[in-house]
Amino acid sequence: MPAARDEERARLIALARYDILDTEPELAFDDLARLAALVCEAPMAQINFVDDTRTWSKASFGAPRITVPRASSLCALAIKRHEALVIEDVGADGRLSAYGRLDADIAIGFYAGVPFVTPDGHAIGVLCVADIRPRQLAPKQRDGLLALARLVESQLQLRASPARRERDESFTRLSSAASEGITILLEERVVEANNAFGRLFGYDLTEVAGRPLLDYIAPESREAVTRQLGLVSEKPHDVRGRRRDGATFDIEITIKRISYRDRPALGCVVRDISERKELDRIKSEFVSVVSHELRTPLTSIRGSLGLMEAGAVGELPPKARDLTRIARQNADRLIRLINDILDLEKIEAGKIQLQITAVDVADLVESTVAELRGMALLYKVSITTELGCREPVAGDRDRVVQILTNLLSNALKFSPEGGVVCVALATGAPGFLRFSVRDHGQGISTEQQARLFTRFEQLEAANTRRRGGTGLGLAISRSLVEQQGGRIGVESAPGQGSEFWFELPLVPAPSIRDAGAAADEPPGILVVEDDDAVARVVGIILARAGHSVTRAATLEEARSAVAARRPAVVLLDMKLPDGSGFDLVDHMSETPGLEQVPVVVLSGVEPTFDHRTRSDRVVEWLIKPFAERELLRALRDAMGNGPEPRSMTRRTA
Amino acid sequence: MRLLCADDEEDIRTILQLALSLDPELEVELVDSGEAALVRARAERFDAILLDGMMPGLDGYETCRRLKADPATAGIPVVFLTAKTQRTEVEQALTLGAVACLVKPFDPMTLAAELRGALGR
Repeated sequence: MPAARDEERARLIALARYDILDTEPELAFDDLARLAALVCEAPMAQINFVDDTRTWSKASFGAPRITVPRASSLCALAIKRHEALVIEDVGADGRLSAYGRLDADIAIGFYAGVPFVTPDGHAIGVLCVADIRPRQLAPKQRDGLLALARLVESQLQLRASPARRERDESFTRLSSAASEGITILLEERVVEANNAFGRLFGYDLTEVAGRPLLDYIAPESREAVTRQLGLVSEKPHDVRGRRRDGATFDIEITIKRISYRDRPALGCVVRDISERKELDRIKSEFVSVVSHELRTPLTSIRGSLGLMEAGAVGELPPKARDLTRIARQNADRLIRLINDILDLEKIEAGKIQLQITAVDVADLVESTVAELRGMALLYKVSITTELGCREPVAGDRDRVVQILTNLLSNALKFSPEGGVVCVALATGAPGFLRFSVRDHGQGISTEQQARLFTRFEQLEAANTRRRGGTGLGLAISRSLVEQQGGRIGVESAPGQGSEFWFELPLVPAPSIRDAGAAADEPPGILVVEDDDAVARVVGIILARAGHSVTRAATLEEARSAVAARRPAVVLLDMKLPDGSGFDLVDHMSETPGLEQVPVVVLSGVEPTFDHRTRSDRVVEWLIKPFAERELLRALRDAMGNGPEPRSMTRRTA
Repeated sequence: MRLLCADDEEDIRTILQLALSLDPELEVELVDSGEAALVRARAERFDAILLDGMMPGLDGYETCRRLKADPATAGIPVVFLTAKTQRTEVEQALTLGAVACLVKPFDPMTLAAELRGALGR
């Protein structure tokens, strides 16, 4: 019964909050036990707490304090029933014989226990009286025992130590000032929460504690939050929250390991981001409207002007032709501006998918320079190249061309007539290749350099008109470089010309190959991973360790890759765009020659029982994110033990 | 080469007419909707169809899907002319069986050549 188990977990957390188990006797509780014995005219009375394994006495009158297994405790029975339990003759009921002892030495005939309950409704212990002989409990005595149990409840509230009360108060005071929901979790259940947390989810603060965090999360996000709870990355995640009335809303949740009353716990900060999400939505809707609604009239304007300027509808008088050309050039500029805005928007929203491959940099520079020769002629500037380093970089070729084109065309525009622009390739920071573009223009002051890579920042407004730029090129370049794991910058001084540079990570030899490489090479490692960034990182780690790597982004690519060449090991992402990683495992198990290839799973989630038992080919299960050494160790183990099935182990880093 | 063009914007149709007529070998027929394009494509033989992506009623994508679903018109190469530039939209067009996606705004002086390039003739 999961509901009962849930309730029991919540009860144990409520108990833990009182921090009372295994503490020294206290006079107030001793007095309450004594009063209970007097009121009920019983020789023995106890105040007992019941945790998950045992019943423990805080106070005892007429008998020693006890610690007995929960299973043999009448108090545990009273807790389970959540109401007063009176047994006039314990011995008469055979089922209770196992319970009939206060401890090993004292068999009891009579028992009456009243659970005491926390303000949030959890019965955490029992005030009980007992006698060696069977007897009855008079109604007045029963009333007295109930009243005393209420006093135990009050005493528990008062008892919270001054130091802890202070601690709790400072948590309450500090957290009540926060607009974010703040909560502390023990075993993934809320033990403390601030007002904002209750408000956010539509609960009264008294109802918040004891519930699992997942109660506050919309069903579609529970898997993601469970994973987050397991990894505790301290990175904020955007998920859907769930209010008391069932309505769901966008929240950002950050989870951090903390210690709570000397127990490992999780601190959790929740922020309502519905407004931000709504703004994002409006923004991307706006961008999409801009994309379509501005382009349609511009198509007509640009088209009409182009036809007129070219004389397609009859020769124009010279002045009219000039004006048409001016109008057409400005329409072109507007189109470039719209394209740049859309491009930047997409890049910054992370909506572009980079196709990272090993890029032949010398070829890239030569072809980019060739493309811009015409422009150089126009500005009467010559271009030279210095290809000092020709090692391939890991990048998206088209995007690298875009960046270099931007820097080079800027340099051409801002060079004096007859000037020279030099494009160079050199080693950069360790593991990086540096592309640089040097001009002999007027140079840029330090203050101006700082603003250069932000939107719409051009050095002089007049330049915009004269040079026809949009002011977005450098911002786009910076975003693109950063998304490819590189850096961009400028070195310049007024009168000294400028050097714009960017660095991208080198691909260490042997390089990452795409699926379908030549079949005569030694068996390598097949990385089946749809996420480009993860695949790139894994590829670089493996290549640095001297492995030859093939990558497949889909199940289909993976099938053809294993068909083309038997890999030594398969590193497998479970979630692929066209199916589950296990489809590949099954496929290989059924394919002669591939049955023995060991598989290391790279997954965002823990393996389920089904996963664990599905195939003995899966020799390792790494949880993302994993450390480099962990990956290499898993691989070494997999290769060393390749043909022999091993029991699966799970590792996290 | 007989070309059928569908675009809901009259201005764009005017420019398409002028721009494509710069190529003497192109014989262009213009319609203003996806529905009309389907009717004309079934009625007569065309060598290629140029479709605007966004049109009220049947949009270009749906029109393309229906052209490809009909054995009588499935063989005619389709080229999209679209103001949208998202990679997914280009992919959508190609998935539907289009041979290429040309973007708006276009240069009227080179449109015919681009179209021929896309069609491989």
